[in-house]
Amino acid sequence: MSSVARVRFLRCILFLPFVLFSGFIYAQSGSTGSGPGEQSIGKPTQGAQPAPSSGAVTGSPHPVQLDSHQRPITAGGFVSSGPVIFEDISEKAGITHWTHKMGEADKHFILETNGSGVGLIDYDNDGWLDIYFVNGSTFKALDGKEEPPHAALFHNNHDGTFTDVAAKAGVTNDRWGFGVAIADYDNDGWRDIFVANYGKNRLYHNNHNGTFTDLGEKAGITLGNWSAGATWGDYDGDGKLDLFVSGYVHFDLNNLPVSGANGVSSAFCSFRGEPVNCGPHGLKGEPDHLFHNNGDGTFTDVSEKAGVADQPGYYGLSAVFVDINNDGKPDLLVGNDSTPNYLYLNKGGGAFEDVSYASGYALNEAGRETATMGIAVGDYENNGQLDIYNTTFSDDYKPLYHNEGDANFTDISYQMGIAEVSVPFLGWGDAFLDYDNDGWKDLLTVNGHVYPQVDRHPWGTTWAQRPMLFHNLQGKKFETVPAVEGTGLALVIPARGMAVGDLFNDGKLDAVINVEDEHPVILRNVNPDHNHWLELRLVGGPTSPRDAVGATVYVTANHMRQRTDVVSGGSYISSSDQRPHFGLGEATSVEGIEVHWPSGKVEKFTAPGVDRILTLTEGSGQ
Amino acid sequence: MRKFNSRLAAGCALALGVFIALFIPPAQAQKATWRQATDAELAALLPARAPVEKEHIETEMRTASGITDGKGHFIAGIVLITAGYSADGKYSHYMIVQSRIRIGGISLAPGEYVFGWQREGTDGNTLSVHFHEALTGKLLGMAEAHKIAGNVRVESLHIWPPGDKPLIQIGRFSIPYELGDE
Repeated sequence: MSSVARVRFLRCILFLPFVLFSGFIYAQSGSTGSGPGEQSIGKPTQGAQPAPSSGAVTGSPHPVQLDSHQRPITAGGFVSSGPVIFEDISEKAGITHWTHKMGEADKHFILETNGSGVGLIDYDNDGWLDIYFVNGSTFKALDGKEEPPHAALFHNNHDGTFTDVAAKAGVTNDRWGFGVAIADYDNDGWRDIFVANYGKNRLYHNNHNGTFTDLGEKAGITLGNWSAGATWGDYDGDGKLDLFVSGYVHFDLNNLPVSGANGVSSAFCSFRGEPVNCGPHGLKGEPDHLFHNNGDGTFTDVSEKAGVADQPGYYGLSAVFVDINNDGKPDLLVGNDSTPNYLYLNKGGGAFEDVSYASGYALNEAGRETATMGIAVGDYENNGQLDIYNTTFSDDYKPLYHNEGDANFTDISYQMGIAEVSVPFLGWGDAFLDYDNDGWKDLLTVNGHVYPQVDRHPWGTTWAQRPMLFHNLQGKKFETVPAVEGTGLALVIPARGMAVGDLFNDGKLDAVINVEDEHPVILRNVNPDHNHWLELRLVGGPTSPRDAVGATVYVTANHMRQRTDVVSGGSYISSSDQRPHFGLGEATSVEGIEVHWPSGKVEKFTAPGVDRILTLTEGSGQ
Repeated sequence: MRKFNSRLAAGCALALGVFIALFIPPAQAQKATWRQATDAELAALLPARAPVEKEHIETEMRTASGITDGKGHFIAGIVLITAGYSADGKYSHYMIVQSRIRIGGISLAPGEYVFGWQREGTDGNTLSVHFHEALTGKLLGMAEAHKIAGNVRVESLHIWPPGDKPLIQIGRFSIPYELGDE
């Protein structure tokens, strides 16, 4: 019997009495502390207690939301007619023969629950986005007893279909994969792929001929336990992209986290009294790492020196480098699961300042640590300030952090009307995207629970969930876009990673979703608008990263100035289209384009027209 | 001269004492003695698993906050890890009170308490905070926490010393409190 099989058996034995006698224990256990009115001097007594089962008493006060068919709102609430925004074209696109695999269906271990990311990359420089889906693995595969699941690299055939070329390209990974970050880290004009794994990470260098070579070992970025998310950014302004990798849980195959054993409290292995996999609470956190790009194919771990090493061991998932305070330097956001989020301000000279609490980003506005899964960054108000939207756990709303300037954030989800509706959902990938090209960035999230057990209880949430789309009402409010039956918004799936981008070069932003243990999904944007648009392909100069990651672009049209940033990372451990996209509404011309290059240079460009993809090269503007 | 000065000093001290006794209310004098509790004091005081009704719920020690009079009395609180995640559940915080306190109109005798909150209204500026006996869950009363103006540091919980500002801060909301007998 393998170690995992032994633990599964042990787990059953351990949980049986818990399930059978939990009611008895509740009834029999007495109070051990002193009551009100009595002086309490020392710690309340902690001995001889029943097994703690956080959640039974403290369950969500939110009423269960069911639709007219008595379905939980996370898997229902559809309308029969309305605007069709997204069409599920996965089958037509030819991507459904590939299946994601993340352990076993019963999800006994946390390693089997968090899913994988997706990266959009034009790996062959043909001007069309290709798709890289990270795959998970199985304990049997880790033991060498079965073939590991492979990652997929879907080449865009320019006709609405895709072909998996991962094996030929040499990027199947074959490790227990989680995050992906796309960037041209060696400034050779060809984008590369970083894959964050449980086990050693990969750095797939693009060979310029449709193949890649894993240079992770040489680069010195492999680590070895549970890396989750990653983001590229030139934090020290030397023109070379550096790599940040978030660490999640330290997962020991030889000391598996099971309830009441191996030092794991059973309180952290139950949800609303139901036994579930243990963690992340109660498990040791894996630290984060910042790798400085030495420019010779190697990297140096500067996490401690830079002040981003995650000393407390929070459970890091998504991360993104982006200039949050408009000082021209990329700052760093790290979304942590069940622990405070990090906001590190780039102070220059290779140092960061932790302003997580001072900025308001560490917690939600009521002071709660959230289970942050995904990070969306965008200027939804068109005021030049980047705002942040995080996806979090079910029974919790999803905070929208409004940028007040000078790195101060206020969680305004409730004021914007998008908090309560998000509560039953467990969110993962998220993005600000202007789906209707009206010039205002909307908000898309994809969802799915981590516990299959939720389907056996009337808790109002489900394993598979539908996406949520919020329409931006000119920066003042968001309204929920109804899920029309038979459309992409009514697709009920256990979604995880999501990347957005213009897959078909038609000016409409599509969504690509990695689905846990199922085939992936492409939601093609078919919104029936006739608004105009502009997309920009940026090429950095000799002192900027060649792919311009870190650039900020302002486009003025309709007397409105919009901002979009070039980033690598974010969402839920995914990597989206790096071509800034601008919806222009009814405008048939662009008044101006201003690019703030990573080098610090600011240039103005003109657009000869709209509804096109322009290439802008640093040094060729005014 | 020296004798005169010492008499003068003694007289002044006596006058000052009388002035303090007559014009400084006891509560004011008491406030001056309360200070922020240290991390070590909080770690010694607060439980890793708080007795709440019939359960013992894990607490998050990094969120602990409290004040002490330096004479062994504390008023301290800590966040409960509800369901392992950040659900704004029935209870969010656990409190140990060792000196009578009135929080937003609710008088708490020495003992152990829990509180939770619900949002009130649609403007997002108010939380309705409900206080309970920890061991029985008995509801003791409700108090309103209001959004603190301006950009302030977000806190899981901060019980500010009374001499600084007599507030209990939850996130970016706060409730005023008063120490002492009713």
